[in-house]
Amino acid sequence: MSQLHYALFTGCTAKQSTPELLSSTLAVADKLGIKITILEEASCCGASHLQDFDEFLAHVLNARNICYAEKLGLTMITICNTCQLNSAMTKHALDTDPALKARVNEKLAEVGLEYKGYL
Amino acid sequence: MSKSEIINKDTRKVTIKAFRFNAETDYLPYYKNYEMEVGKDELILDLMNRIKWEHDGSFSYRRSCRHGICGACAIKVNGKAVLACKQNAIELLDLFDNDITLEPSSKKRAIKDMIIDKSDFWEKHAAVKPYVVAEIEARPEHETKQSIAEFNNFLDSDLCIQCGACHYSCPALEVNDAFLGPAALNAAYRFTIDTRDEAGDERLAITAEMGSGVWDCVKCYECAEACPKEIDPIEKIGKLHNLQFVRGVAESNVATRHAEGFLRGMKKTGYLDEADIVTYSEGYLGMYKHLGTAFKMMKSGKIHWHSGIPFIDSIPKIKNLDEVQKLIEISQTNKL
Repeated sequence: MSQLHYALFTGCTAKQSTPELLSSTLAVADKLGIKITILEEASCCGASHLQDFDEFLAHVLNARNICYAEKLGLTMITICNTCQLNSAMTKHALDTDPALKARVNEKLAEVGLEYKGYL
Repeated sequence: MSKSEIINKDTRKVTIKAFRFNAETDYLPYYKNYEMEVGKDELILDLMNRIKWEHDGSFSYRRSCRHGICGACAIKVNGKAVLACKQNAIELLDLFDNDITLEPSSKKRAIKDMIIDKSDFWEKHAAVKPYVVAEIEARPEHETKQSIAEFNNFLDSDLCIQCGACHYSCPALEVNDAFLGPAALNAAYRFTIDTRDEAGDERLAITAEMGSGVWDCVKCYECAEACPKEIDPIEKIGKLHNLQFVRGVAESNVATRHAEGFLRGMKKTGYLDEADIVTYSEGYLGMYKHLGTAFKMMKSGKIHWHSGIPFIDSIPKIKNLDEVQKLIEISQTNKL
């Protein structure tokens, strides 16, 4: 069986107030023989608060995070339920609304990225 | 041991517990058991009918349409909000291992058995002006239509049947009587987005009030879980948040600064700056009340000094931060 390999979107708190989330995830993955590639490029998901302020911008930034997992061809995993929710909401919005996906990709193209949506 | 006895594959014998209370005669509520055989196509409403018709004629509940339209028969089964005429009984018996208890949507509002005093629900509904406010001519020459695109902007908010399932499942409302709740806020969105309506700004001001409006939603998604019409009220609460900024009526306060303030850290490091957002949204004086928590966090290793020096570059930077900065610059559509 091939080794499991995931792209980890750590989110903000695992890098700040809950470092135990990150260290325990990596330790457990190591024990289970799961390979983890941390998405060091991924930004904050907006935690539903940026979404309250500017929904479109929040979609652009979350799509950017997913782009990096897509680039690696890996399934993205999260260890924060807020990151999970907001990534999933953006993915759902973009995968079901081609016009929104096109508008988001127009912005992402400015930094050389494209959200494909196949993850 | 299972509490049910399988008679054949289509029916099972179960004991249904029900909340009983008569505000006029009882000091406290109590629960009674009712034995019955439940068929595979029976609804929770059928179980209530059978308690009334076969066991105790005084058992009281609201019912009317029997096809998920009138919203009268919303109750809770083992704490889960259900529309009794839509919810299959066997499905819940399976979910709860044949041990189910019928309770009113809100026990503290019980008048008689499943019947509750819903006046708080209707008062909150009325408070958001849940109707189109417009000057209309007495003898209009043409219809005032909505285009398909305009109609689509309602999302599914127009499907609400005012059953109260979300309202009485909302934990924010449970601890804050002033909170308008998901159903009223869904209605506020429905009429604010209607292009024929002229009271949008007024409604946005009502729903932006601190203590009662959209900022007091705790984003638990329980309303989306509870809604028997699958309306997703919290989506509309999010839209109301956005509309405050889109229409430029948002006031600068602790809640709006907290939403907009996420961008401050993201521009600097790509991550949220947990300490900065507290200072920015609550001010230095507001920060003071969090010092105790901050000190405890520091003691237990929950505040990291990435650079090794306290308060200086304490948060790591993401790779390709310039992309995030550029995307914020070119994609930001709202301002505070």
